[in-house]
Amino acid sequence: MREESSGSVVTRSEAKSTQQRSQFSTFIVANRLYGIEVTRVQEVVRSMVMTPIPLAPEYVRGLINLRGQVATAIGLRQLFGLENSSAEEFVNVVCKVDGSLISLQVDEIGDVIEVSQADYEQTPSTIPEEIRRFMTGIYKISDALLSTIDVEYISKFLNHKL
Amino acid sequence: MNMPTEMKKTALSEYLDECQEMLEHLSKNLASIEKNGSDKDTLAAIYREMHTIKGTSQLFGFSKIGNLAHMMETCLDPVRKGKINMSHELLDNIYAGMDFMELLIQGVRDKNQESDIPIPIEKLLPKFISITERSLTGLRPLMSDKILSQQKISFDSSSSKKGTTPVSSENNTKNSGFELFEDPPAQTPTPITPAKATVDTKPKLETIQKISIEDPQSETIRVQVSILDSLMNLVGELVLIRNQLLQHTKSNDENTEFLKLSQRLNILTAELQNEVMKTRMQPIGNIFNMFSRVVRDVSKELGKKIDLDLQGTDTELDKTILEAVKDPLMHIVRNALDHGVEPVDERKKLGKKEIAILKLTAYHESGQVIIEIIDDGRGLSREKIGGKAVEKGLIAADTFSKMTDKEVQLLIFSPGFSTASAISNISGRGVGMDVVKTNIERIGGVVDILSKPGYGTTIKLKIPLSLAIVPALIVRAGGQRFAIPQTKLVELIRIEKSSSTSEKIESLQGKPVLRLRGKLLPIVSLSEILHHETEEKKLSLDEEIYNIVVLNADGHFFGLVVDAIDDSVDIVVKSLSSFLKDIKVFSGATIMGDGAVALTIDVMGISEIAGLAADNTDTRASAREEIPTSISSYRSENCDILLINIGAAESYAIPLAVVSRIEEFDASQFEHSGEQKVIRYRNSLLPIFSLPNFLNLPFKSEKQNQDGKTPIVVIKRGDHLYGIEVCEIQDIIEVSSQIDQSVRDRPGILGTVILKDRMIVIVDILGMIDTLQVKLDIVGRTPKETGKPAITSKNIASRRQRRILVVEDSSFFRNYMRQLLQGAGYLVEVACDGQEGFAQLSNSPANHFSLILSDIEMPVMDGLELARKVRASETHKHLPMCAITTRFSTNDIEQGKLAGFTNYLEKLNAEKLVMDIDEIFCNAQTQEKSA
Repeated sequence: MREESSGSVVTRSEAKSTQQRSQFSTFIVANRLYGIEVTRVQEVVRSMVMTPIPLAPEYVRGLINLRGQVATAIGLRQLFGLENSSAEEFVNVVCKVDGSLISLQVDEIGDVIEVSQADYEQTPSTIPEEIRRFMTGIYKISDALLSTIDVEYISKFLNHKL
Repeated sequence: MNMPTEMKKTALSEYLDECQEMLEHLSKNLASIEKNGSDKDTLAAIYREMHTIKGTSQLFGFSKIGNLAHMMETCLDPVRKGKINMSHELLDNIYAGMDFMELLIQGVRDKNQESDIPIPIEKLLPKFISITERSLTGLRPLMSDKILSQQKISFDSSSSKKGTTPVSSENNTKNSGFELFEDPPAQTPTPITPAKATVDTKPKLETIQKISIEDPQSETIRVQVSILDSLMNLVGELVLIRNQLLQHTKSNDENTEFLKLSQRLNILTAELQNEVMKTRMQPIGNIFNMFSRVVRDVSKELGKKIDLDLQGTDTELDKTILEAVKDPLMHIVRNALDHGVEPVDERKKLGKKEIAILKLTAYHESGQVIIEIIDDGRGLSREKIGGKAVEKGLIAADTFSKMTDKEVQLLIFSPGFSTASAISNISGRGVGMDVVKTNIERIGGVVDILSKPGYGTTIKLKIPLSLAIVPALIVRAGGQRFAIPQTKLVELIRIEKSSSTSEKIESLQGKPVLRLRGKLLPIVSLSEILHHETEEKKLSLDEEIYNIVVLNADGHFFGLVVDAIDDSVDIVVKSLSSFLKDIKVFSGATIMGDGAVALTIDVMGISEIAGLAADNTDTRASAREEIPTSISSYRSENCDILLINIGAAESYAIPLAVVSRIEEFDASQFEHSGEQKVIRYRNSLLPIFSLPNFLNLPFKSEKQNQDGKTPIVVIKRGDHLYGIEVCEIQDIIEVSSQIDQSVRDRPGILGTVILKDRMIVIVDILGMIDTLQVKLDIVGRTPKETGKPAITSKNIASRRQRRILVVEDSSFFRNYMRQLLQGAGYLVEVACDGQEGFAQLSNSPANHFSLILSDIEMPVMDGLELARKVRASETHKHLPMCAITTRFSTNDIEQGKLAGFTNYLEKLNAEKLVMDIDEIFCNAQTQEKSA
């Protein structure tokens, strides 16, 4: 049922240092590649039974039962203002932020990618603000561009916005 | 580099926990010394712990905490050795020192560094030291030469501290510390300690040893709460899987081995769940003990003498709940100390004991924990509270005069209320009792208050055992399941359109309302609230079936229409992500038996979103009857009445319960037997009475319908039927049974009821029939029957207008009597002793009560004295009084009669009791009529 994010022992302090390489758990939303620092990801689960929350904003998709813990599912498509997908199947990337579990709903899960700090670049200002605000930057990897997501900011956004 | 930091962090947090724990112990021990005088063991324990704090603090390099501990240790040394007695001043200083220490520790906890402590504390430190110095100087005459030398050292260390050179101060303290230890602690058995004279190890060894001495029986380990939490979650998950497995077993019961295994798994899981729950339980004493300090400080500050009495300290509560009640409890205690307890001279004047008693009690009751905070202070003053509430605009002045004492007392929980005329720093800190109420209710608790002016106040908190498990009702709306906490639930109503009950949903200004027992209940639809349903999908008024959950949102009742009502289950409530709380209508989520997540409904939130709370607050001020203070008052005390037209402009009504049938007769059917109008009805003669005739009213009721028929209300009294002639049967409505009896100008009128600007006169139909029976005897009835009308179930109607005051000290019998009499149809009020009973009587209008039932043996004021008092009072001297007792000696009865009791009734014979009471009323009525 569930895929544990494969064992990585990179601590945050190391990831921050410019000399070091950092690892990102990648996923695809609307055919674009995104990544979250691998240490932030608690686990990845395939689509689960979801309880919708009436009155909540559209990007709050519902609640899922994660082995007895309740996680709130956030649809990244809806959060980023992308068009809704017709797909029934989602993958949940579960992160723990400020003590509560947030499950980011993505289209597909990718590999854990190791990037070098040398490939980092700031998010270009041409990227629409709706998405740019959630991004920490861009990593240029061999065959694609990896947009890295700031989970803390998502949490802050949720708490502030609502 | 990483690892040692990590280790240090763990060690540090362990150190902090230990310090906290020791401070708590110290506080407890100091309180016990203060109360019971110094005993050697406790003193030794205090000294030991202070020493441990010193040792460990210095080990971690927190020199300020260490020095502080050292100072206190020095102060305590002569006391411990019995050279001087523990003085109050010294105790004060130690308490003050502990406060600073706590601040310092907090600083370490928050910022990981002692040096990060804000400057003010730094300034306070030398001040404390100087206090200590003074106390020691004051003690000088009592000291031997040896201590004099120690004193010099203490000056040394303190002066070096004032110089704020931490390093040198630390050295200094160490030295002086060990000088003190030249002479080993008398109470600590140290022979096992290898006499290693090395300066560094000694305090450490002492520490280790002391911890082991502390509590040899209970072996404990420290566990992170988060581990317990996740353990709890996992067990919850296990339970779910167990449930699914059991479900599976039921359908596959041919495999006996599998059956056996699943049974064992079932039992083990239940046990495991139980044990895991236990790990989170803590005795309430943990927070109760904190109050000994509070009471001490506050009483000192206010110049009051207060004793703290703690009971049931071993009552266990979930840790989270314990944390949650801590602050409200503190607030209540401070309030009691500040406002409740009178100053010493005032107490003397009142003839009360000089030392006030504040009692904190905790006990289990029906799956809840009850915490009572009882003071014997001045109690709540109706006038003060009312005045304040009116002044603050919480209620209107005329509303206040109509409120019961209880309602007035509950006002203190209203937002924006505070009686303290001057804001003191003890309780008036901008937060009122309303915060207490909201906080207790947040964890699913209930606050109640009971106060007798002059005798004190009791605040009762009902707290669920555990936050985690809540009984709830599962409902469905919009294809989803939701859980509603049972505590907010009043009743469930199912309305079918096909069945013609009086309950139906109507539209009021486009908003649905339900006529429920004569009251309008606002109706909201859950799916409408949750899904913003569009106009056409709005709650339609012609559904076949409605399922309505009647909810109580803080005194406002409303009906919530749901698609279906599923089941009542115990749920484990999980908190939602904080950003979801803003939706307001959900208080949490729970995982159902099948593993799906269901949201729990926040009843207050729903009422807020639906705009119900705001509406009702307005009516609250205008109509007191509209706010039922409890569920019971909401449910009972209503009766149906038959609205009739007797030709008068006013509406007249007969209580429906006495009505046997409603018939229509042709004018031709009426006959006369002498002067009495009769009709042949069911093989006998039905005497027909006209209300205007009886009441001597100048109306004619013999008007006929268009079709020439006269409606007759058939009343059954005893074994006989009587007909009442009316112009028109108008309606059956439900009214509050609180009949206003102030205007009754003639016999035959029971009183009036006001219903939405309309006055309805209630006819005392049975009284009328009883009177007329005398006349009917001529028509051929045995005199015996008239004297004693048979008592049948139909009498309930007449019972409904009678209010009985039950005075009984045993709560069991009080409830028993109440249920018995209410079951029989009487209105019942209760009091728990003579004094309370008499107070209730005095506060009520003259004919409010029809009978007093009183126990004889009661505290404060016994039944005999109550009887004497009632007989002596002007307004109530004719009120019948019955003694209810199990003692039936002639002597007792004689005494009771002498005191003023009219009858002696047997307490335990329920049937006879009700019959006897009926008889008393019948007799009283006949007497009245004949007089």
